Amino acid sequence: MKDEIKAILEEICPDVDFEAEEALIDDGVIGSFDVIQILSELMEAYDIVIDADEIEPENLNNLDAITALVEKKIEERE
Amino acid sequence: MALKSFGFVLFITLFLIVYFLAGRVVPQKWIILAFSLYVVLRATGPVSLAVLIIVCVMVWTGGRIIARDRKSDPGRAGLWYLIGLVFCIGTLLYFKFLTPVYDGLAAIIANRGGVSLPEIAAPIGLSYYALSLAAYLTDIRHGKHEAEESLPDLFAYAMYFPALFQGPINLYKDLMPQLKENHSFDQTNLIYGLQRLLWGYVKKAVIADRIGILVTGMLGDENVRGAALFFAMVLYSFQIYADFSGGIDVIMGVSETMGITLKENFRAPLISHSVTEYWQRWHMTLGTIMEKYLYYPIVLSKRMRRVSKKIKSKYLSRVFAATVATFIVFVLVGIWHGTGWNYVVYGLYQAFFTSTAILLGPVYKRIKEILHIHDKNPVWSLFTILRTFVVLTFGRYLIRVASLSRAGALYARTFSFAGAPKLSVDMLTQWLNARNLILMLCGILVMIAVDILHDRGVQIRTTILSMPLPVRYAIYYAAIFLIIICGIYGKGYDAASFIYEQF
Repeated sequence: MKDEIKAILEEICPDVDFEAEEALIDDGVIGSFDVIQILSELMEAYDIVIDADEIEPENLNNLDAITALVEKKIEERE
Repeated sequence: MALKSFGFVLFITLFLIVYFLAGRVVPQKWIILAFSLYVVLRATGPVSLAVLIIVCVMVWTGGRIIARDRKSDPGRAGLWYLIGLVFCIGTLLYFKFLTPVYDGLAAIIANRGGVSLPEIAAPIGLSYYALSLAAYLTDIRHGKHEAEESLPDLFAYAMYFPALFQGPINLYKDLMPQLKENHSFDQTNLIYGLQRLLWGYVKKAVIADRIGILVTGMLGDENVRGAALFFAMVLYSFQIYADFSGGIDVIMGVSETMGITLKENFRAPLISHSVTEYWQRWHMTLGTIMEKYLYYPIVLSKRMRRVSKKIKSKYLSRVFAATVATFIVFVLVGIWHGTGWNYVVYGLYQAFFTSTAILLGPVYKRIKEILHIHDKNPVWSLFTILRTFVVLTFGRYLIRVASLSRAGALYARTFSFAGAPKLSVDMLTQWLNARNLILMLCGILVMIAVDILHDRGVQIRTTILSMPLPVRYAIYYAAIFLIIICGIYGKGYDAASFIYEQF
């Protein structure tokens, strides 16, 4: 799943190295519109709903955190 | 008591002594609270203090009920959330828009019945106070943290006096834990804090206020037109940054000395490559609040998702949602800065540039590919920084003056080139002599250099600390000397007025 998500992220932000970055939000690597695009894409791809109050650095700062968020949301759905 | 006054320096000195000495027996948060109460009473009077207390009591009560009933009785929790917001945001709106109504009523009552209603001044720091408490309630509602049990603790947090002067806006989860613990005196904190405080005063008193004299002079002289007027507005861009960020440096410095770390409010905004990037670097604590509590909730709301689904192109439907949210957020940011149509237009101006950047993002990208322009190319990078600076400078016309029509007049003057006197050193020396012009220019250059170094990760403070003792002290004395001798302290005063201002 991690690789799938990585592919989605790279499609949206081709210039970002998602394996290396640890603080995508805190360091301002991705802006708010990137966040919107990433979340919309993930919501569509995995048929999940991510609410605005889940947009926290700890949920989105790196690939692992994003993967964990998606996994949690899939579990909640089921 | 202004941030840039001898009174403030004396006040902070006294505060720090009490904070560390009495702090051994009394929790330091009570000492902070006591000094905060004094600041509010002294700045805006007892009625304004009562307003702040009422808002805090309502938010404290609301927070506790929301935390308790969030899951068991969402309706009740929702009602108290609304009540809390009405008190925070309602008070803010009242003081921003409705004070003329109150003054009018008071005048009528005074005329008819001879009863004079008390004057109610807007409480100092209300904007920061109200927004941080509104965010506090929202976070409880979303289950991000517990409600504060102690009313005085919540009050000490919301009224944290260093931030009452001009921010930053501190979120509960960042500041409250630091207030709850006691901080023993630490020499490194003291040195770093004082370094930052000195640098802040250099920016404010030496750089910003020196530029201010020239800008006020140039804008006030109808003969200054065309390029010269634009030059004045470029200087104003530097002035507003030096003034605002210098003030924040003073506040961060004071806090650091106390052992408290606040969130940064600026990250070298003058070297932004786009308007969007600028807003990620300028007044960051306001930006974070706007993004977290308005922008994302609007974009991801059910209604927005429903509406934007009707647009066929995936990219455009997202752009649509982001654009709507961007315009709402920026208009509110505009109004937050001041009331008047010029602030609304200022918000629209910023929203226009940020949203077109998103809309045309793919087009720009394609053009750059065709022209083989790489974002990291230094010439291109410099060009985008200058372009952004010019766009933002034109935007600042709107907030430099009191009304939209005056801003319009200023734009018109900029574009009336015919017969405009040429921009020259002789023109500038009407307001600042050559020595002061050089000092101003050096100040601006140093400020930009410091920002570039910080942006590249260079820690100037540690570099200074690692220098040999004589060099270190030479730097500190130079800064103090600069602030006292070369700071600008009111019209017609000599340097000594800094020392005697409050006596």
